[in-house]
Amino acid sequence: MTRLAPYLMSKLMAAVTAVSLVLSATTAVAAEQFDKYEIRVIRPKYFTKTGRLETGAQLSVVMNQPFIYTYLATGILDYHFSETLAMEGALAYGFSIDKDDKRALDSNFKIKTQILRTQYFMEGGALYTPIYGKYQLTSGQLIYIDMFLSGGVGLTGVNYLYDHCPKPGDAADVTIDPPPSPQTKSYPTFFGGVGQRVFMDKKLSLRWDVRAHIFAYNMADGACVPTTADKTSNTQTNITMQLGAGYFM
Amino acid sequence: MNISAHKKFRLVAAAVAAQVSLMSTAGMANYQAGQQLMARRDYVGAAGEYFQSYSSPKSAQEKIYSEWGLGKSLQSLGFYYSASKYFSQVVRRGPGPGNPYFRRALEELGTINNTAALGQSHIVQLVRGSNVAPENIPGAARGFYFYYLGAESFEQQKFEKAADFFKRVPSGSSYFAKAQFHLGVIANRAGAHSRAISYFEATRGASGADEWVREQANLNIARVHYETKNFSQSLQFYAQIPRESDNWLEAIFESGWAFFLMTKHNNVLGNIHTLHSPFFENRFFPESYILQAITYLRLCRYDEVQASLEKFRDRYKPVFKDISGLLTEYKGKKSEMFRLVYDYRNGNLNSFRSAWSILDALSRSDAYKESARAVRYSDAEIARLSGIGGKWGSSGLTEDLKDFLSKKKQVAKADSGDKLFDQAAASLEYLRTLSNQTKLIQADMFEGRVDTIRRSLNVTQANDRKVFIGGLQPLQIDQQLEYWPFQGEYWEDELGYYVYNLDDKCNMPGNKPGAAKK
Repeated sequence: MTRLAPYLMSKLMAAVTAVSLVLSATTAVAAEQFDKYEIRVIRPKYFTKTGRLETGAQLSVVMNQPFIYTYLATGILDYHFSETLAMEGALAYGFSIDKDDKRALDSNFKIKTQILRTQYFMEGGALYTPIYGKYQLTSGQLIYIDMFLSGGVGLTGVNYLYDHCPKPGDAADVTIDPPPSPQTKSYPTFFGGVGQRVFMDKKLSLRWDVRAHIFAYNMADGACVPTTADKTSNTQTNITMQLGAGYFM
Repeated sequence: MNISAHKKFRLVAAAVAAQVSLMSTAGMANYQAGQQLMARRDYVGAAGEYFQSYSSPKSAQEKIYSEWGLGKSLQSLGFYYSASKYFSQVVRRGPGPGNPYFRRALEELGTINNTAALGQSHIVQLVRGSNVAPENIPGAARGFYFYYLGAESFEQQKFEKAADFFKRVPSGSSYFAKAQFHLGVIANRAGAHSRAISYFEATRGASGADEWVREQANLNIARVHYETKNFSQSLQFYAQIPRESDNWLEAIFESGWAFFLMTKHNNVLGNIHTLHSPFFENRFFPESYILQAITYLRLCRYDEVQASLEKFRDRYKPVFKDISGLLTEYKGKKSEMFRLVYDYRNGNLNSFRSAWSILDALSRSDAYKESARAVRYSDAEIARLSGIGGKWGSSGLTEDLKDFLSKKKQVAKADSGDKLFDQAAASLEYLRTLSNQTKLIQADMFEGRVDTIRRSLNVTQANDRKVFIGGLQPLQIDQQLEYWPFQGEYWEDELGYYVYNLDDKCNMPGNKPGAAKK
């Protein structure tokens, strides 16, 4: 294969960046990892993360909601213990907009959909970066990347508007209690995902994450009449796509 | 024209005004018109008037003043080469009461040479045998003047005389760095290695934005350390040559020898892997195959030794044939060598294809670059003259300048043609020598004289305990590294970072020196 291939060429590898404490450990890692290769490239790592703080901003979009769009402004703060391991805290806050489908169901068929509007999430967890690599564009430009897995725990805040509930006066033949006042409820959450950084220079990276945020919520919290509602819990998985940039200090 | 130069011109003009006023005003009409236009910054008009006055002077003084005014007006128009014609005429007459502009003309030539290199041969012709007393050289021109006097002596291999001239180049001069560089070379030739390094360090310090001079200083410091067997230090300086430099491959190659003498065979082979990559198939490093062969020989890898020697022959046999043919063809027309290299450089050459690696090396030589610059500047001025010449009517100035610039091009091409031919001939001789070496290596391998080769190269005494990663860098504690396997695919960013992973086979049973298959 030549470097003039018409499409992106990738060179991905398991991260074997030798974060060694002693000289011999570094060479030992290299020797083991590449023992079978007659020729190797050995050079200082282009982008080092160890011991660095990463701050970032992202726009998170909940992807798996049929009736609403949810957008959350997200701030992240990471500390990288090594090239492969980091801990991360994330805080997101946002809003939801009804899709046309939801409005059409209501206006055409009087069907009021009950939905979970995610208002915020705050999470802490770990990142594991097993892959570091580079692409070469047809222009010859090189792009360094890494790919990571993320996982952790946190809280998801769901905003209940009770706009699906019938209001007093909606039906002439029955007495309807007024719906509860809008409120936000928080639920313990587990999350896991995958992401990628594209290193623009020695400090700045573009970053995307896809994450599943799984939480259990009480069915009664969203019910129009909480006192008579089923008090069992249900699980919800929010799949978020997060796009943004990280800055390494 | 810069403001200070303009002011100086006006001062000089004022100083000579008294003399001019004593002359017949009837005969000075063009000169006076030129001065008035110059004062109004109508340099095109001024040049036309000065030229009229210069061409048909009514007195020797008028010719001198007009000549100076013509040079200044052309310089103000950005016709640096054209202006240099008239300033050079002033300088050639030498100092004296009849040549009031001598010092100023010398200064202006120095300024022009900084902007548009006039070429060493042009300047050496000016300063050669001028026998001007140093006190007659104006401060601003001392660097320029003494540097080129030194350069001439240096070329004639009169090194002590050259050093005397180079030492007179003032530290504030833009020629100081180059003078220090030459002093370093002279000191090294005399075996004064420490002094040579000091001079090269001074060159680095004074090089300013001149990357080429700084790189040459780094290369030469590396070479001095190599000569004195300080291989680690040598590598430090080779590593400072940037990737995008024309000197980078030279640094990779030379550092390969440093690694060899440090018995870092995997680094040697890594460097050679870069040199042999498809990116550099037109670069001329035939010795790299010899270095590769003897490195494999050191590792008792006889099949690889054989393969390296065969690759050398496969690659350079056609080169040898083509360069021989080229030299035969151009022996009687050396001056056309410039055109040949120029065509190669611009992708217009279809002949001597196998010798392109040598033509590529020639196209990167100072001899070619200097002439190519002179041709480029001359062509640019000729093109501009075609646009501006109408304003000078039938005065003859346009034709005069075009004639001068055409001759300058011819001289530049002829000068470099000779040098390029000699360099091509030297390359042929170099190939011949290397070819003989391949035979010796092969014979030594068959005869089992590896130990003899080792002793002659003195490699065991030069061992260094450091571990080197790619890029000529020693491994640092706690350094974070990245590793990429080479699997037949060359990546541009990986060039220069290859390290082999081969064991020494000399201690393997049945693989003693001399075990090579005939």
